[in-house]
Amino acid sequence: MNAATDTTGRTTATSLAGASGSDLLVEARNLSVRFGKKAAVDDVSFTIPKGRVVGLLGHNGAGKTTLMKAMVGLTRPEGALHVLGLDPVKQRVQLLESACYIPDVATLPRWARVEELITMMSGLHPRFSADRARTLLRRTSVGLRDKVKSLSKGMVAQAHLSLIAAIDAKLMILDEPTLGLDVLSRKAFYEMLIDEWCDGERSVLISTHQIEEIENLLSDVLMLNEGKLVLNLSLEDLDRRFVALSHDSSVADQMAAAHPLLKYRTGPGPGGNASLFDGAPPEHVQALGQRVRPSLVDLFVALTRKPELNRTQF
Amino acid sequence: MQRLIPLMQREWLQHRFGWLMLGLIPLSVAILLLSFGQIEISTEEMQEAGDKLPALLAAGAIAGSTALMFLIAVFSSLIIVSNVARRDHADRSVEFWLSVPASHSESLAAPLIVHLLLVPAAALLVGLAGGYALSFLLVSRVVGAAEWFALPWGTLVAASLGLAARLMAGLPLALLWLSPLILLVVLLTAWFRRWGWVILAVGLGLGSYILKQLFGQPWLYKISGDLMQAAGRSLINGDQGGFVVEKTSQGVDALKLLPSWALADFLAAVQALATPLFPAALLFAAGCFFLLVQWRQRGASASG
Amino acid sequence: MHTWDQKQAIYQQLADILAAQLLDGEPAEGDAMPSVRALAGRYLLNPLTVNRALQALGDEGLLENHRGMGLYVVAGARERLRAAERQRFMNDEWPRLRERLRRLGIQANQLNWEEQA
Repeated sequence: MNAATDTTGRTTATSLAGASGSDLLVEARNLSVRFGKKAAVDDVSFTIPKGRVVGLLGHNGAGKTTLMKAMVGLTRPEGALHVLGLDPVKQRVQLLESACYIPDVATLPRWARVEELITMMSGLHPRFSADRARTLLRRTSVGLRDKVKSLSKGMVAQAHLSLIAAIDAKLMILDEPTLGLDVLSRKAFYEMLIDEWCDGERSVLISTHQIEEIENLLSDVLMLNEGKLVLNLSLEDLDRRFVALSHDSSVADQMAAAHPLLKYRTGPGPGGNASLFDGAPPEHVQALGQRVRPSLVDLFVALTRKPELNRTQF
Repeated sequence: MQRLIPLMQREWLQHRFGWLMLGLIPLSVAILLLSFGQIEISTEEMQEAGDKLPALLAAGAIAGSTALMFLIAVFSSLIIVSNVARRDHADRSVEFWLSVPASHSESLAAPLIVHLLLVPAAALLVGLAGGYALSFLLVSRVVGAAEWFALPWGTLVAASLGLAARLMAGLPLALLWLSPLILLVVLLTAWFRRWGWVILAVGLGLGSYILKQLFGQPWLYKISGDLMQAAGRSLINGDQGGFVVEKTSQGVDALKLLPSWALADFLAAVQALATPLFPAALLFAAGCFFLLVQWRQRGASASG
Repeated sequence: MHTWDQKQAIYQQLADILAAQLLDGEPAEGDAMPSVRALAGRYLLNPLTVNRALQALGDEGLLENHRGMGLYVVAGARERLRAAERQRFMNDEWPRLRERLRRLGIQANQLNWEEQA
């Protein structure tokens, strides 16, 4: 990942951490997608090298889906966007041969049987392996002769993910793939993600609301707030840059004076306070508490207020 | 165009059961009717036909079956095609189809080719084959099975193949004539969902009528009518002095002439293409197709 | 799914878990460590995190890279780990425990060294 973005959304110095041109699967520069006057995606720049699992986080309507659609040529953006070195709009078909996009896991054709889907995908995707798909499906509770319309939502998602995983794609773009899945199905998906896609050559861009669950699987995070990119970091850099201090309620005022991003509680009792800082606070403030790991959820809350809360009160 | 075949395969997988029913049911009904129903031929007709009766019965059964299956296929295909832009929206699988590496043109063209061209062609062949079976039943019931075997098969086969070939060859021409109307319907349903039909009915139907009656502008009315008439005449032109098989007159001799008539009729239909209306129709259809590709490119979203 | 605490970085916590397993002889000295993929799948972590944990263990001299074959447990790793754990107990845990015993007023001769039957 490249830029460290300060919390007002302006991109600061870009330093590509050792990733050369051919290693970059996605390059976006000053990307915007406008619908009328409103910008669903507002001047966003980032890169995705290979071998990463990138979490795309944001509230509903923050622009995640629009951004993903732009990456697969379903929306025409302003600015520069290259996915696998291709222009998503002009070279859409070629791109979709090597990049997989699941817009919603509940969109398999209801009239089809699973084995018919395998037949169709064999013809449509040059990199689809029917054997792989059948192997992956065996791990699920979905049968080959099942009709999609007879499957529960969770099973449709499992089937869809198994079919997609059978495509030898370099980039997987998944829009909330675990939506509506129960815990076991989500766990199976995470296991499949690690088994199938974490080989150092592929990258996954995944948007989700299950931030706590996915946090440990991510290598990088992109956070959108109202179309703007408010965070663009690897998780490693995140641990270094953000300082979370757990402290007593007695020093809460002194902590607050150092202008933390967020104040929150980690547990009951007087010792259960915490403050999250962007960058290290002064030494004397750090000494007041104990440094803990900043969680992605807390960062998410700190950096992406709900749109309603952003409006000034009259 | 390399994804065209797999996309066409989708149509087969999705509709094969329906097609089977569409073929089996009419044939089964016909078989039942012919086996157990009442067949009435007046004694005058029987006397007029004389020894040509079996041949005429067989010809009637074959022609009837072929034409019936053809018409059923065309009708059902038009219904399917008219909804082709929106059919994947109900179960939201349009998102799935948009994420597949196939161009928008291929995705739109595949169902059109399958339903408008391949299905009626297949139905013709099914009707032809079924017609032979039905002819056996009909002839057997009226004059006895022995007569069926004694039929002038050379003439009959040639005539039936001639008819089938005429329809098969005329089908693409008819489709080209109708293409502006068909693609207009598809485009309107893409933009306006079910309201597309309303707009078509109002715009084309009511609109052309009002233009003609109130404003003395008959061109819209005329064009629509001309297109449909041209399509019909692509199938059976009729300029060659008409081929009306009166069951009680020439009979088998007329059948002998059918293949050559079919050829001449087809050539007449091809000649009928040489009018400015034809390229104009194709241009309009191409325009509609272009707009459909644009619509699909914009995400073919439910909101338009 | 394994729950990780908030105090330390995940890779550090994983390194500690793996070290504890090494102390128990799992895997034994001279044997290969489970692959990064296997560990990532077992603990549901990004392989990059697993790599960092293994790197940390390597930096402590507990694992070594055999070319083309992966990471292996160094001979003497268990002893080294035990020594490190002993050190940590003596320096950190024992003083705290001693303080607690003093606060509670428990004398050394009141502590039962043998396990109760």
